[in-house]
Amino acid sequence: MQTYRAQYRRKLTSPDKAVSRIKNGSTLVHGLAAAEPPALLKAIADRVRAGELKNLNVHSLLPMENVSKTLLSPDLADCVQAFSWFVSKASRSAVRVGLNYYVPNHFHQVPRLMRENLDIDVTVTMVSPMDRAGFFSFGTSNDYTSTVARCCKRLIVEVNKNMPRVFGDALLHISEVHAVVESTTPLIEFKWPGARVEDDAIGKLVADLVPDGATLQLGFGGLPNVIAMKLMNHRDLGIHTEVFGPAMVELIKKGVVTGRRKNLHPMKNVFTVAEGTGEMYRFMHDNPSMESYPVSYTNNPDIIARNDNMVSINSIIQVDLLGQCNAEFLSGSEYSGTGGQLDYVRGAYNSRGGKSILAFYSTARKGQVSRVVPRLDSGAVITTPRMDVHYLVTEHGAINLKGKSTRERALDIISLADPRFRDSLLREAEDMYLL
Amino acid sequence: MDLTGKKSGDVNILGLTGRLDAYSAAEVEKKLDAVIESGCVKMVLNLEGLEYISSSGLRVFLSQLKKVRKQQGDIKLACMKPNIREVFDIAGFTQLFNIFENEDAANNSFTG
Repeated sequence: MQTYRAQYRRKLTSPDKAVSRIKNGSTLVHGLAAAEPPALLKAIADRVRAGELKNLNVHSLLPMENVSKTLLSPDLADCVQAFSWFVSKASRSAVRVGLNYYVPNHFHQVPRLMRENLDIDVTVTMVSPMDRAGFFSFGTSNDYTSTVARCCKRLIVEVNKNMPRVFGDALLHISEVHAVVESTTPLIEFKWPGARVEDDAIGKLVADLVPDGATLQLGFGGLPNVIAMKLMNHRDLGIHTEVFGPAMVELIKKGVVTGRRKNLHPMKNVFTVAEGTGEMYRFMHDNPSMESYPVSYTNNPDIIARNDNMVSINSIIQVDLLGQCNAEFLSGSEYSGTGGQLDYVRGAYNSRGGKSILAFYSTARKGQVSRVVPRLDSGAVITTPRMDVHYLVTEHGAINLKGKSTRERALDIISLADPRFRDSLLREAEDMYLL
Repeated sequence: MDLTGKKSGDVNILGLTGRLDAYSAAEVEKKLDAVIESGCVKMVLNLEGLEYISSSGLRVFLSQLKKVRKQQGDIKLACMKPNIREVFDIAGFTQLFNIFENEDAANNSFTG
C-alpha cells in the first residue's frame, strides 16, 4: 500500500505540467462522454491557444461539453484535426462543414481499429480514486479507453471522486499511468427529450416482444428509456448492454432486473459505457453487480449471443421499402454513427430465442415527414442491412422481416407507416415492382 | 481563385473570387502571408465573388486572423454570399470574425 501511495504521490502533478510534454503533431484520444477529463482537456487547449501546440489529431467518440468547450472549440480549428467515431451534438456542425471527420466503424471493433491504425501519443481520461491495491477504475468509460490507455505512449488520468468505481474488467494500475491529476468536477449528466404521444404505443408493442427472463440491450436515447419503463411488470430480466442508463437503474431497484436467468455473467449488469445522472453514478459506485468490460467484449456479436433470449432494442431514423435501415445519416450528413447497432442486431438474433428490435416513430417534423420511405435519401448510408433486420416497431405495429419476400416486406413495412402516407407508399412499391 | 488588392490608408482591401478549397487554400495563404509580412495587419476581405469555401479555406482564414490579431491587426469580412455565410454559421466562425454587409462598413470599422 505504501509503495502504491508513494507512486501516486510521485506521479501527481498539475494539469499544466501533466500535458507539458505533449508535442506538435501528437495524436490524442480522450475518455468517452462522462469520462472526458475537463482539467486535462482545458490544459491542452490552453497550450494550443497560447501557440505552444499545433497539428494535434484529436479522436473522440460521442464528444460532449468538456471537449467541445476546449479542443473542439471553433477557434482551434486551424490547430486541431478532429475525428469523431460517433457524431454528437458537439461535433455535428463541424462534421457538416469538414472541420471534423467521422470515422466509420462497428463499435466492437473500435479498440482494435485504434490500436492497429492510430499511433497514439497520449490518452487522457477520468478515473475513480485509487484503491489500497493501487487500482483505479475506468468507471463510466471502459469502451476503447481501456485499450488505448495501454497502447499509447503517455497515459494521463484525472482522478475524480465522483467517478464511480465499478467491477468487471475495469481496473487500471498506478504502475501503468504516467501522470495523475485530481479534480472534483461533477460528471456530465445526460438528459433525454420529453415524452411523445407515440411512446405509450411503441413501449407496449416492444414490451410484448420481450419475454420474462430475457437479457436486454437498450440503445442510447429517449425512446429506449421510454421502452424500459414499460417493462416494469416483467420478471427476471438481465442486462448485457453497450450503454447503461437511468431507466435500467429503475428496473434493477424494482426487482424487474435480477440477472438470474443469464447464461453469461448471471446476476451481473454488464455494460461498457454509462451515461446518466448523478443519482445513477452513485448507484453504480462500489456496487458489485455493476460489471464493465471493453466494448470489444460487450459488443462482440458472439459474446452477445451467449445469453439465451437476448433482446436488443435500438432506434433508427428511417427505413425503406426493402427493409434497409438508416440510423445515422440525416440531411446529407453524418448525424450520429453506426455505433453498436449492428453488433447487437446480429448478436441478439444469433442468441437462442433472441430478438433484435428496431423501434422508431413513424413520422418526423411534427408528423409532416414519413420515416418509412420508398428509398433512402440520396447518399444516405445503411446502418442495418435488410438481411439483418429482425423486428421493426412503430406506434402502428410490430413486424418480423426474417424469411419474408420483398413483396411481404414492402407490405409489412408500409403497415408501420402513418396512415396518411400509406397510399403513396403503396404506389411507390408498385412502381418499384415490389408488389 | 483570384485575389485582387487595393489600399485604403493603412487597410488592405482584398477581393476573393472563385472557390477557396483544398486546391487553392495554400496559394491564398501564401498571398495573405505576403501581405502580413509587408507590414499590413489590417485587412478587409471582400467575399462578394467567393462562390465556395471548404474546411481548408476556413482554416486559412482562421490562421491568418490569429496572425494579424497577434500584431494588433484584424481581418474584417464583407459582402458574404448566403451560402458562404451559412458555412461560417455552421462552423461557429461567425463568433470569431467581424462580418459586415459591405466593404465600406468593414473598412470604416477600423477607424470607428
